Formats: sequence, structure tokens, C-alpha cells
Amino acid sequence: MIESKYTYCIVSATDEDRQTLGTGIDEEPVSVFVQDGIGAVVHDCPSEAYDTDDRSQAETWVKQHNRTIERAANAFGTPLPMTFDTIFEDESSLRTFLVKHQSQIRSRLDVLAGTEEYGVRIYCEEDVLLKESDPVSDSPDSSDIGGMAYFDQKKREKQRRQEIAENTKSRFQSYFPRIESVVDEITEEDLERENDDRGRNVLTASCLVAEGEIDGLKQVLGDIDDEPGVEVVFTGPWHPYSFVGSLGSDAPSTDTHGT
Amino acid sequence: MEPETESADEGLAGLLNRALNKGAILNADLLITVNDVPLVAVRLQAAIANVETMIEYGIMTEWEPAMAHIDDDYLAETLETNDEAADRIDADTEPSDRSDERERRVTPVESTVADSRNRL
Repeated sequence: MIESKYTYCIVSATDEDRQTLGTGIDEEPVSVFVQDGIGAVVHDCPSEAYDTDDRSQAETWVKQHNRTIERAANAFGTPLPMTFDTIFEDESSLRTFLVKHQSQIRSRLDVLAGTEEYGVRIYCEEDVLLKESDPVSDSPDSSDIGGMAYFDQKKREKQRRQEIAENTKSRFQSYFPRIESVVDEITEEDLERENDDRGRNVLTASCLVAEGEIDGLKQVLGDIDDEPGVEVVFTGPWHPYSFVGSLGSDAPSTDTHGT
Repeated sequence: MEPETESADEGLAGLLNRALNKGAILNADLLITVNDVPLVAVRLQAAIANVETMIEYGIMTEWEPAMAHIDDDYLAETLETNDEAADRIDADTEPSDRSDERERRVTPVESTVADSRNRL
């Protein structure tokens, strides 16, 4: 039965805004469900997740999800974006959610109004990271692969990994405050564990910036990107996915997220 | 520097990460659930995940313990065993040019060990 509500985002809306909003995932017609001045941007769907093994299909759905949020943002201002596949059981459960958490939702909409999110990842070449330390004594002798030489080599590799880890940390401590000083909010994220072509990931973060106030961040990241052996990956603008946090966490049961 | 949007590879990766792993976290009791856990697109997540994530979740780690024990002693022992086996075959068969065949038997072991050392 098609009675569940796939929810793209929550916006500030009035009864007059009970409009259609184009189409969303799989070209489903999107509408705004308004309750007490808060609108949920939804489409009707069966009670099952959108799921697929096909990466191309997955990308298409995620883009449709995001573009629908984009249209809502253009119509109603900064939205609270939902994770892909957030599906309320039915209209009643959606209404219950909006009524019960009205003040929390309003306060979150106020805080995030007029902001955009940007993603930042910084990579350093390993050679550059290692140059910051004293050179490791004794280079490995590749002609001697037996016995103690093998264990010496393992020991040197361990020492090298430790130096990279320490210098990764010091790079993070150098870059993080520079970025923090030019954004409204910053949230640190897990570093990638493995090296890629760009080197070692030394900082990954999402930044919240007031619309039109991005020049400071562009400048700082440009300066960092100009450093030798350093590459910055800068993406956005995004809806504030990383800053919307938990909603309805004061509801009874399954309250594991806190506020 | 200018940010990349979803039309670039890095931008698309940034969007996928956000839409699938971030966004508002809701209390589960009003969402469609199975055993009180909100439904998530498990296969879709896997389709998006890269090899690194698969390794992180243990899908591709089984070869590691199998290969990690291959060291110089193992190499020496294995080559010796191959030599002995080859000698036995030589002794049991009519004299002929066995050197090529023996080389073929030994080579895969050497290359496997060399590959494993590169990875260690």
C-alpha cells in the first residue's frame, strides 16, 4: 500500500505553501505537508526502502533526493535535509513527529537559516610528512633479505609509520584552527585510513558558512593548497547535512542519539 | 580556490557521503522499521562503498593472515621441498629434459612469495 511518506527535508512553511514541488525520486510527485507552520517535503511511497545493487541507479536516486531538497530550499529557505531513505510509516506518524518536535525543529531551522555547508579534505604527500622528522637511520639493504635484516626492515617500517602518524597529527593541528577561524562552525570527521594518489589524508571536515561569506574559506584553502606536497579537496555548497543533528531525540524509546 | 559541485567526481562523492551517511537523525519509532531499526538501503550502501570500505568491514581481509606467514624461512623451506620433489620425479622417470618442467613448478611459489613481500 502506498501510504508511507518518503521525506526529503523539513522547511519553514505556511498553509498556503501546500504546493506541489515538481518530482523527486523515480519522478514521484513531491508535495509539502504542512503542520503548524512547519512543512515536510514528501512523496507517497510503499513501506519499503529504496534499495538497489546498481551504483548508477543509486547515484541517480541520491541526486534526485538532493535536487528536490534544492528546490525546497529555493522556495522556502534553508531546509533541514533528511538522510536518504527516511520514510515515515504514514501521514499520521509524520504529523505526530512534526507536532511533537515543533519547537526543536523551529529552533534548528533558525540556527541554520542562511547557511551553507562545504566539505574540506587535505592530503599531504608522505615524503613531505617524513621530511619534517629526523631521517630514519640506516636505509634498508635490499640485497640482504634474510634473517635479522628482515626484522630490521620491519622495525624501520614501523618507525616510519609512527613518524607519519605524528606528523599527520601536527598538520591537522596547524590547519584546523586556520579553517575554524573563517567559518561559522566546523565538524571534524574521520580521516581516510589508506593512502591514495594525493598522499595521506591529514584533515577531513565539514564547514558551515553564512551564504555569501565564503571568501575567507576560499582564501585559506587556496593558501594551504599552494604549500608544496599538499592538495586540498574542496566541495559544496551543500545543504547543512552535517549540522542538522538529531531530531525528536527527546521522544520516548530508542533514544540513543541524545542532544 | 573554488569548491567542486556534484558534477565533478569529488563533488559527487561529497554528495553521496552526505545524503547517505548524514542528514537529520530521527527517532525511529515513527519510521518504517524492521525490529525497531529504521529501514536502510543496505544494498545501495554497498553499491556506493569503495574497496577501502569493504576492507574496513572485513570483506577482503581473509587473504592477509594466509599470506602474512610467508617469510624467508617459509621461502627456503618451500623451495627445498620443491627441489626434493623435483629430484624424486627426476629419479623416478626416464632421463629426459626435465629442467623446464621443474622451473615451471618452482616459479609460481617464488612469484607468490615475492608478491606477498611487496604487500607486507
